[in-house]
Amino acid sequence: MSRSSLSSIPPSPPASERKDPRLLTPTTNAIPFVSVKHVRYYSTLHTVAVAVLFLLQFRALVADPYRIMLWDLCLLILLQSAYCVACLPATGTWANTTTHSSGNEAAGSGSGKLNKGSWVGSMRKRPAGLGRSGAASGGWKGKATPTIIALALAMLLPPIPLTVLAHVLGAPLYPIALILNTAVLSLHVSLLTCMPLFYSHGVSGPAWRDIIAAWLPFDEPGVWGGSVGCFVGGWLGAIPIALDWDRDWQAWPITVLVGCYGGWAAGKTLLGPIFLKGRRIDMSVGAEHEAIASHPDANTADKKSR
Amino acid sequence: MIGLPKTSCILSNILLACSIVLFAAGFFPHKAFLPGLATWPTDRNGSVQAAPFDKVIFMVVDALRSDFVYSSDSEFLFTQSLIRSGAAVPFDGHASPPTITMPRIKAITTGSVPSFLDVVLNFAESDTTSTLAHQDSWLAQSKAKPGTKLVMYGDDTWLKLFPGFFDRADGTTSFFVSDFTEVDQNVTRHVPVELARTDWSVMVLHYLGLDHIGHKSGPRSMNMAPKQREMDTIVEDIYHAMERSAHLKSSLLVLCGDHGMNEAGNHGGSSSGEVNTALTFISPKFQAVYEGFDSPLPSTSEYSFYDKVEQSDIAPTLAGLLGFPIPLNSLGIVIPALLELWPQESDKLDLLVANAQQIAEIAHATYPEVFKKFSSSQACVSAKSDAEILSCAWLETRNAFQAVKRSELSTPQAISLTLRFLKSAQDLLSGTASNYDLSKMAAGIGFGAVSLILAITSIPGGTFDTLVSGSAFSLIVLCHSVTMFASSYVEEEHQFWYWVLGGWLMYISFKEQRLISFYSLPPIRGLLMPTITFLFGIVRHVNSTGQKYAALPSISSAVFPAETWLLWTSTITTYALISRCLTRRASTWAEAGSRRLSLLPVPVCIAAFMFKVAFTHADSPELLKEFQLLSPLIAMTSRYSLVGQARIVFLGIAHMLACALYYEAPWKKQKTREYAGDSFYHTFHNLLSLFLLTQTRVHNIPVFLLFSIQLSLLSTEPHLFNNLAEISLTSLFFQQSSFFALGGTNAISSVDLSNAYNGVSGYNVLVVGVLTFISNWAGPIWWVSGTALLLREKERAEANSRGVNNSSPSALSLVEREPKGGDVYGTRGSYGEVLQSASFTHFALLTLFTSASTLSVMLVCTLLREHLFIWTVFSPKYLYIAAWAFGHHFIINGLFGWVLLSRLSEG
Repeated sequence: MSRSSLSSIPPSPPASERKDPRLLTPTTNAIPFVSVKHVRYYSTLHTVAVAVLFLLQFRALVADPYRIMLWDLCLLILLQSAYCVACLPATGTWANTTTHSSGNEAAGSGSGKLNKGSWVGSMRKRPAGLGRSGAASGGWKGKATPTIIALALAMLLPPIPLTVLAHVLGAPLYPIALILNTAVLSLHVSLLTCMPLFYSHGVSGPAWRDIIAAWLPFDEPGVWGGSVGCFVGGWLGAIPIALDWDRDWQAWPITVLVGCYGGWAAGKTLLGPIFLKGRRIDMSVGAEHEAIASHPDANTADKKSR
Repeated sequence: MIGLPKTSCILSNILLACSIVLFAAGFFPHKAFLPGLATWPTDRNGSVQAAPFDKVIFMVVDALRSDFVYSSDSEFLFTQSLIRSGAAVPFDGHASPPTITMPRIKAITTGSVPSFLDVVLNFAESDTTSTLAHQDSWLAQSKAKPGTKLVMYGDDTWLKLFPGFFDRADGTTSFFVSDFTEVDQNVTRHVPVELARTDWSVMVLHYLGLDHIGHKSGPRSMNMAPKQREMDTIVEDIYHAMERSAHLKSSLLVLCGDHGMNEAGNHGGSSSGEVNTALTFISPKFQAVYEGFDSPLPSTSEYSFYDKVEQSDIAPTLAGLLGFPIPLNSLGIVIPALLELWPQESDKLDLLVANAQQIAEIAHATYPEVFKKFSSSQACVSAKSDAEILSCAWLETRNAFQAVKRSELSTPQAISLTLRFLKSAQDLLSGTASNYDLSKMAAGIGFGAVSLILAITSIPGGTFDTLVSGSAFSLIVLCHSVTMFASSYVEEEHQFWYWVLGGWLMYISFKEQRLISFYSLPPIRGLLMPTITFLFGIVRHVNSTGQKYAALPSISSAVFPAETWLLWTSTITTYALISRCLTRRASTWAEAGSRRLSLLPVPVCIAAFMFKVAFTHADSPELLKEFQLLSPLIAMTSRYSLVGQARIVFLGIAHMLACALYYEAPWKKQKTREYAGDSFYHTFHNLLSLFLLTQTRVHNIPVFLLFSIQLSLLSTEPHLFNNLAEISLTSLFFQQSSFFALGGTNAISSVDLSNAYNGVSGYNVLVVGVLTFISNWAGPIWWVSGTALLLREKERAEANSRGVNNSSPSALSLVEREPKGGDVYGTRGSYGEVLQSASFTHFALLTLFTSASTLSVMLVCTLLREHLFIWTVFSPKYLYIAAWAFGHHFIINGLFGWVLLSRLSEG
């Protein structure tokens, strides 16, 4: 019968040696720096400033987590806004996704070298992008609108899912007041990670599809590296809570907040600017497997993404 | 066909078993006890101190913490008035851990310090080695006196420990902790009758109600005050009888707790609430000697009120007070404050001398060489070790006795010297750290290490074909082994597994977002893993487990009692889902057999649900009060015994299993069906779920509903997992965290015995042991079966993708999937073999984890054997890891998961 004939057919080899046919294709390009003088220095300065300001507040944070976290939040809003304006291209001013998936292979490595011409071109192509008015002029006014919108989005949209996620991953429900702390924690995380992403990627569907798949390429300004670092750091930051040392700083969510900031600073400095520039976190088997084998950082990163 | 990896894997498991047994033999040394009864020394002169009492009423109130009697919040008002008047002498009785009833009764009656093995035997109570029938105790001493009768009312642990000792007895079982009143009324109704009789000389009363209230609703429960008043009334009745009746004139009432309770109302550990018990000696006679004590006293967080004595001191004290030799194995000291009853100083010394001689004999038996070496005072200059110092102290004490006889030393001086010797002897001999068999422990560790190496070699090549799975697996194994060295991580092990599982689920979630989903429907696309992760978030909040936060409100302790409708609707849904899946399969059997066969699952599931309702009605009726819908059901089921109902459920499940075997015939090659084993397997999984539900307390049943949803979502998308190792990791994480999610901890006190007697009327160690294991490991067992299902889905998906391209998207839902007509796949011959090798790889990985974690726990127990927490944290963990290895790994994962389930694939 048909079975005997079919069983003689050898199992067909995987469709492509280089790509797992079951996987989608990531289309997002790496965020470039805006072409302004000394932008790299400012980016580093920003990382250091956030980390130092956080460390300076640490003692007060242990004493009164909730109040200091709110206070830190205000500082963070200012710093992150300044950083976005100064270093990152606003959404709509650059080609953030590759429209043809066939061009994807080149995208990973080539995105860092985008020139000004392509931004303008992409702006024309994407009239629906956020903050397009005045973006072409490149003035402060043209940057203020996307910053405010990115800020509003980052404060409104991700915190609720992030709070739920924090509870799923073990944030305490009792005493009930701690839920507020968790909410503020997710505001911090959202500002650190999502705000630059909103600023540069807007609400583009393909980009956010890649973001929730942790599939963005590591970019030079360290936006994606900082985000990955922030989540990994927060996840690792939960470790000391269970120890019976009875220290004040073991209280929720201090260690996690420290982990988030530490991971963010480390990721922003290392992942992208120094290592893995233009690469994506790979979780598949097959051809791309060799690529991650040479990059253990990417591995630990994706495994531990919180 | 057994290849090299298989051989080394099996060998690794055998070695692991040997290592656990060897290590346990060295780590839990069986304490040698001196056989026989103590007798008066033959040279004893006739004019000994007269015993002040001839009758004792020993009233144990289970879990009577010291502040329940002594503090200003206590309702023991009459007892407190006795304390003030001097008719009652109060002490803080120190219960050494493990603070559970059986070892505590052993300590109270024999004066010995029970070995840790008694904890295990507490759960295997009928084990003859643990009875005290042949050990010396004050009960045995009283019994040995001619013409005395012993009576006992209350907890039947006493009847099991002392078979044939009591002339009249009425035991109550501590089975349903919801019973606050009947267990105690059962005791109290005998009290007036017995007080009127004259023939007994020892009456033991053991009240359980207070302990039940603690377990049920904690020490601050509103039921506590009335219960304390009730106990106080009993003390009052007995005291008045002692005052009035002539035959009770020389009787002594001892009111004591066997252990305390912590703030959550549980016990077993070593917190100050658990170890501090009330211990009061009451008699009108005391008023002549004592002026009274301050009472009540303000509560303290340390629960210390009066002089602290060991529970083992009760035995020699009673021996002195009632006038019989001190039990042979007693490590107790006659309570010095009670020596005041003897007006003559020489009588006091005589008592202490007898006490010292008896303890010195035990020291002799424990350290024969040391005592031989230090037989003269010259050698004592070089005494270094504790045992040597002790033997010298004994020498000194003996010399002091001689000196008193020669009137060279005053009696009070000798008394204080003797007390000092007794104290140091007690400290040294009760110290459990002294007698490890290090060579056996080292051998155990050696075997474990070899087992680990073999386990590593047994993992088939290519298992870790991605770096993620390889590094994740080795990191997790390593981290888990390291955390075992921190006592807080042992206590809070669930945090580790929740943390790992949470991170892992996030990783899989990211992978899901990258997949071209088989589902084109938007509501499901991309939402599988977020749903699973969210459900995990709910599951982890169902029970507050661990030590530190165990008292925090959780879904089972706060939400379900308040919103019973939620509990019962989700419970009914769980049963209904199983019933539906089973019926679906049974209807296909009906085609082959009788038409009515398709109805079979319905009565079985209904019986299982009715049993659960009836059991809950007996165990925690408050969960049913608000849910009036079930009241008629309760009225009906309460007419039948629980044992019978459980047996009906077990029979029904067995019947279903037999039918499934007959009609699905998993071993037969079938022409029409491709994966015959699979369809049997789904039926089997549902039957197993039904059985596990029967062995689970009702507030945990909704967890299984969440597990089912998680599993069916996981198995809809086999490509979530890159390889077998990822499935193994997922399975390991779910197995471990489900144990804790259902309320398990690494503490002995959390062993749930409530379902251990389902369908068992008598006592059968094996059956009760198996049922206890199953009810405590229900979650992990469920996930073992679930993993077998995942492996099948994965291998089938692999087979499909290897096969012809037109393989339709296998939109398969876990339980109801119809096997596809298989002719198109063309990989039929390989499926069974592939499955078997996959199951083996899975088992080899789990073996690696088990032997690594067992080895690390053995190392911890060896390195930290002098640690403060060795008997409260690390030893229980060792027992748990042994249960994980023997019960869960060898039997469930090995025999059941690997050998049996993987064979169920078309022969």
